[in-house]
Amino acid sequence: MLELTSVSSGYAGAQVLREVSLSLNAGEIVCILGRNGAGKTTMMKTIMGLLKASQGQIIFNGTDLTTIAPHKIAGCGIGYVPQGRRLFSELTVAENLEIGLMAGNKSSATLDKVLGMFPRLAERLDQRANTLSGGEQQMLATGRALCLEPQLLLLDEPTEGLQPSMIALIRDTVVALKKQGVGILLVEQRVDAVLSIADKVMFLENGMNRDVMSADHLRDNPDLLKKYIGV
Amino acid sequence: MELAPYLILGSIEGLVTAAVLALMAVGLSLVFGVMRVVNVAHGEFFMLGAVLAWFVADMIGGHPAVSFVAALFIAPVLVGSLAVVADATILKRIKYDPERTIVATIGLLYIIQQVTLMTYGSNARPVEPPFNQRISIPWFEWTESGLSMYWPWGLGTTTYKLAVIGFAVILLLAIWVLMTRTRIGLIMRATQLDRDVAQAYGINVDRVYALVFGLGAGLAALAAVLIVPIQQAHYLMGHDPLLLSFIVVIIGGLGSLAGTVVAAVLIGLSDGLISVFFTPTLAKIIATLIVTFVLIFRPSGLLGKHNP
Repeated sequence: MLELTSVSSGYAGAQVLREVSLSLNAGEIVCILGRNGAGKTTMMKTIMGLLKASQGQIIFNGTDLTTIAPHKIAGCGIGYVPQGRRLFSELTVAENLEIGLMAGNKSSATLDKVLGMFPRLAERLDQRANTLSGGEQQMLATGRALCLEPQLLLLDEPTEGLQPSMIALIRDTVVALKKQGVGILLVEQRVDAVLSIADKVMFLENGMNRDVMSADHLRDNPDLLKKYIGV
Repeated sequence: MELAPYLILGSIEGLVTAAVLALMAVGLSLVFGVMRVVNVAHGEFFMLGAVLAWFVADMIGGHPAVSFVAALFIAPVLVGSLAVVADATILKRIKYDPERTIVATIGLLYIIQQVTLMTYGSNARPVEPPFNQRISIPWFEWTESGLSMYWPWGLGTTTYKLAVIGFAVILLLAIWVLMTRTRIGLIMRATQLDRDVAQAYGINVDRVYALVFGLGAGLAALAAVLIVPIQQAHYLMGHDPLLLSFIVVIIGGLGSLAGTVVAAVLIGLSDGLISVFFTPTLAKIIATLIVTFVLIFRPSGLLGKHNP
């Protein structure tokens, strides 16, 4: 489904990601762990074409994403939930979701499905995104991405600053999507939340791929967490 | 001297100025709001609209209404298309960098101005209005026999000026509908709020920018076509409207379309009233003073977003 081969990228002369490789299959949850500044968000942005890969290939279902225009990547079936949610703050809930529907060229049937997953959004369709609570904003950010009916979902720190009940809702949603065959690339700081749902874990350090292992292996060897991320 | 009739006269003149200013400033505000580009060449798009209106009217001839309606469609489309070309060949190439776009649009200003001077010349040329009946404005006074109506000398306007106000109101409503009720408006607002995320959600930001730059320039040209039967077309006519547009956009709040319209009405009315009772120069001085106070006491403008 998704194959990164020796991908490097960064910001205006400063290289952040260095020759990172990764593979992710349909229905698989891969989690990226690493300290702040390790390059996790940079990797997400590079996959979405928001940062140009200076080297390497990003193949998604046979298409090299590094060769197509950034606005065409969503249409390939990739949903993106950025760090900090980054909703269209002045737009209503309905308008934010409509942007997702437009990106995936989906109909109102998809919207009904998403609102079924997050009923609270249905009650707030005419409310501006910046007036929602943190948890509701995360639901909206996730719902907006799901309006594309993506085959691959990129989630960048989706539980950041959320209360436990909301974290559980996001985790249940991710597990449900995995069962539907959606591939999920997850950046997360909460290791406990990750280990219970991930299939594979990748450690990034200074923009380099330190290790990739199964989540089972990491659960059996908790000392590896201390070694790679100091927790 | 009875004051009230002249207040009415000043208000009508002010509303004509406000109508044209609102259209032009909304274009400037739209470009800044969505693209974060301070378009210093906006006044030249206005001037070009007026000059093209003269060319179209001159070429078509016949009844003034026919040539004017033709100019109303042709000039904004041509100016908008020129802006789209400028976007693709200049602004896109410098990646819409805020500082570099200011310098680039200053360059564009001089190119448009000098090419116009070389081709159109330095003369001011009129375009005949499609209709221009004079309307006297009545006033009332108490006499021994009760309330009676009379027509003060010089108190009047023209049907064309009233039509300019009406047409501008319709156009501004159309822009509001476009921005808030249509899919393309939603796309423009999303791009304005977060360019990167808009791109990640399939929005072709380059195309949106081209459209917005063309639309902004087209609005400036449309404003010029409306005003040219009152003011005449001249290659230096873009300077004052550009200054006033910046004043309006700053007072209204950068990127706020509603604020821009409110500020245009304020500045237009004060311009009209002060010009009637004092001088147009004093009106400009007061507008500049207002913008100074706004920048000191409310830098985000009347309806702009407050940045702590």
